[in-house]
Amino acid sequence: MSNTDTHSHGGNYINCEKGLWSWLTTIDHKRIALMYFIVIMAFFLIGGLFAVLLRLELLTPEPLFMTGDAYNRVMTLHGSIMVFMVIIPGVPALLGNFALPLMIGAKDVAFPKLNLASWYCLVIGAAIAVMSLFWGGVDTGWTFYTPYSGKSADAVTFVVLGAFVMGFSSILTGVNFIVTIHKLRAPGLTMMRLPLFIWSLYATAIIQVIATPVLGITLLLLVFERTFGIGIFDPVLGGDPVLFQHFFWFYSHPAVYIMIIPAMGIISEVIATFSQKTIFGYKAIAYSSLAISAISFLVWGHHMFVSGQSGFAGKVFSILTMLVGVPTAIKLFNWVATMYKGRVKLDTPMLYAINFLSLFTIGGVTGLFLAAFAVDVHLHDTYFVVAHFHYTMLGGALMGFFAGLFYWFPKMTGRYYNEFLGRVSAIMTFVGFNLTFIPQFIMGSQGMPRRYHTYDGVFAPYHMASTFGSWIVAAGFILAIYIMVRGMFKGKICTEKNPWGSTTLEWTTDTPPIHENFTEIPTVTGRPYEYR
Amino acid sequence: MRFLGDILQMLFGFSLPEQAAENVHLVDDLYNVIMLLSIVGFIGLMAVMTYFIIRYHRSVNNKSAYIPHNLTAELIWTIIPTIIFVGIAIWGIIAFNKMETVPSNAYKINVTGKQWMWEFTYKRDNLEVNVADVMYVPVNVPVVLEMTATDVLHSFYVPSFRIKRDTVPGMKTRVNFTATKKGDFKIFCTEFCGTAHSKMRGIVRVVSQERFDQWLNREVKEANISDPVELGLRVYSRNCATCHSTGTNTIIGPGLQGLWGSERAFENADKLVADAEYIRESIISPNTKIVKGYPAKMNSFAGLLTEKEIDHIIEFIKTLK
Repeated sequence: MSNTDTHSHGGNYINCEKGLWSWLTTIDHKRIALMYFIVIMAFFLIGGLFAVLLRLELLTPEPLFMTGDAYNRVMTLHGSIMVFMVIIPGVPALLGNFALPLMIGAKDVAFPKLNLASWYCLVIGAAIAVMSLFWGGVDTGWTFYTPYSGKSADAVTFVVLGAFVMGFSSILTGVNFIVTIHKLRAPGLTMMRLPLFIWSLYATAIIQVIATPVLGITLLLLVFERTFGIGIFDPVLGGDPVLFQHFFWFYSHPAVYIMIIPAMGIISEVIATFSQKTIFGYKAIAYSSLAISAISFLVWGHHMFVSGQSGFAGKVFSILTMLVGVPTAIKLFNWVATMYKGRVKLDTPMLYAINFLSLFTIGGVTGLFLAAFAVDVHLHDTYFVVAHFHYTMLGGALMGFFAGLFYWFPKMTGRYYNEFLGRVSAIMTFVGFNLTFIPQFIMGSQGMPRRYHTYDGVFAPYHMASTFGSWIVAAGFILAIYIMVRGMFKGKICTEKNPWGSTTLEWTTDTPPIHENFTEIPTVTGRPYEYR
Repeated sequence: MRFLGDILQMLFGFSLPEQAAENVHLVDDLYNVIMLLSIVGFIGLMAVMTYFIIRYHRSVNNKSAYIPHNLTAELIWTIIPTIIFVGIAIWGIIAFNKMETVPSNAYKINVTGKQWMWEFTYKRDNLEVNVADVMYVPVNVPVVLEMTATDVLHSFYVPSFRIKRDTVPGMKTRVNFTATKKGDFKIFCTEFCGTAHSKMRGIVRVVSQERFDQWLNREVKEANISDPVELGLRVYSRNCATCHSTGTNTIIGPGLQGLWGSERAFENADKLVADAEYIRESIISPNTKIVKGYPAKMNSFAGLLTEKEIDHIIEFIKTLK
């Protein structure tokens, strides 16, 4: 990571201390962010490898090289890794950790040691979850639905306990960020002067702190049920399997907003910077983040329209789900309006942001089909849902994540990545992504169920196109990670404080920043995004 | 209105399965309308964005304007989506209500989801028939399914009828439909249920009322046979036929022809003449007496077969002369 000969006189956060131990015990939020980078990217590559294997297996209607059980395990691993070890910690823990104190003019987060503890929670939780592989793997899907998960292999206990421990990483990060945002803002930086990424981290942190404990308790109950047979979810023991779904989605629906809201925050930063124009509708964007996070707690039942829950509940959830679409639509309009009469430049972060805008819009409108009660009955648990979910999570959250990674890359590393290859990767992921998932919308509407190892031959052409697409997406993301890693060690040196011409505080300090961020704590006198 | 619905169906219908039940248009009409709105909205937004990118690209525009907000625009793009979204929600709820209304004369079939098969139970005059994987229903007759599961969650999905509902152990769920086309329609399990989840498929066979009655009569008759030999044959084919032939040839164990009343020699016991007690013992505790020349491969059927079923098998074996 550190490159001693070029930075030996600089004294920045990367080279101020040396040796592996100095990294493993660091309480500098920027170093912790880089440690998250390593963990998250490693899991992203593993989760992505599983995705490519799944798609390869699905090339033919009959089994190609996996048994049914192997397919189910790989599917579970792909989902669990991507959700719990990549997307949930991705933006807040990695980019949030790096940017939050810098953007509010603070020396660090409020509880630096707790911040390091969060990293260890993620690593230990992930290690416990990965141990399940040595007990034969888990085949329940990342949703762990009972009674199946109560009867399935012992390895379930490991994954569930791993997710429980990783939950603490999320909760502690959330607490840390809320306190940091309230208490450590630079003089003059009022809430209404906060950058929108900070607003999004704030909205996210609220969900992390309130919702994650519910998942923790649910997963513990599942472990108790498996170990002691206490009978919460298994009807044979007097439990209720639908109750598990209520508990699970009470966390896991807000959790998709843990994944998407911070990515939305990045998009606000990137679009303002690369349009060189003040963000349109600052208040609307800030408040819509809070609105989304509030309403997100009240829509979990739309995952259960056909589960046997009461019809009345389904109707209420349908209307509430539509309402969560409103603040989302507002954000999309605001971002496009920000480009109006700006000075748009299509550098890599902006290209990823445009990927986000277009793909997330498709993710959003296809959500309308699924929120409409009668239509969902037909589309529920088909590939339509798989495609919708990936448009929001991969097309939305991860595209935003990569936009942010490239955007803050020079500041984080003190080097430039290869701009040309960066643009190529953005275009490749866009093309490959659509080739992968548009066929899934069509076959889903035609009735292709999800989580199928073998399938009806009529869906074969769509599956084939989808598999070809997955290779292009994979190549695009591998290229993106390659140029980042290469850029870290061999990229052109960047000493410019503000290479993109942004207006937020992180761009006023050295590149890369010094150990405690600012030589002198800045005083803020105006709103962010004052491009005049 | 129907005219508009048909035009949309022509445009987007290709992405939906065949329409084979009464209420499918309730789903399809709304699907098509949302599709139209989505495509118009998406293309509109992308067109505006693309125009901005080209028109205000840094190479052609060197001064950016300062426009922090615009109340009129923001009100418009808040209120219009709200109305559209809530409108769609209400439409979806009304359609769902219609789909959920079960006609009072609906014909009832019980459905049980099991790893990894569907079982359908029909009732006629206090007699029950269980059939697996193929569900016969009469055309143009409302049918209501009362569903449950025995092991884990499953979900009963017929794409051509646009119906789907989970089957939950310990709980009854219901779904109803009126098939309007004769033919075979696919049933999928759509709730993940383990190893062979993707093979848990079945068929709804929609036939005329007349054929349905014929079919059900035959099934009822077959299911309620009282002849012990006939019943024994059925138990035999389900449990024994893989290893024991009805001739004298060996599959894995000895063939059953001529068994009754013959003298048997064993590896580990004295000779005896095969009678009811011996056959019973061979089923419950197969390794007590291993027939000479055969491996000790058979597992006990204790608990798997009832006393009655064993009696029936014995009656059946008696006939194999």
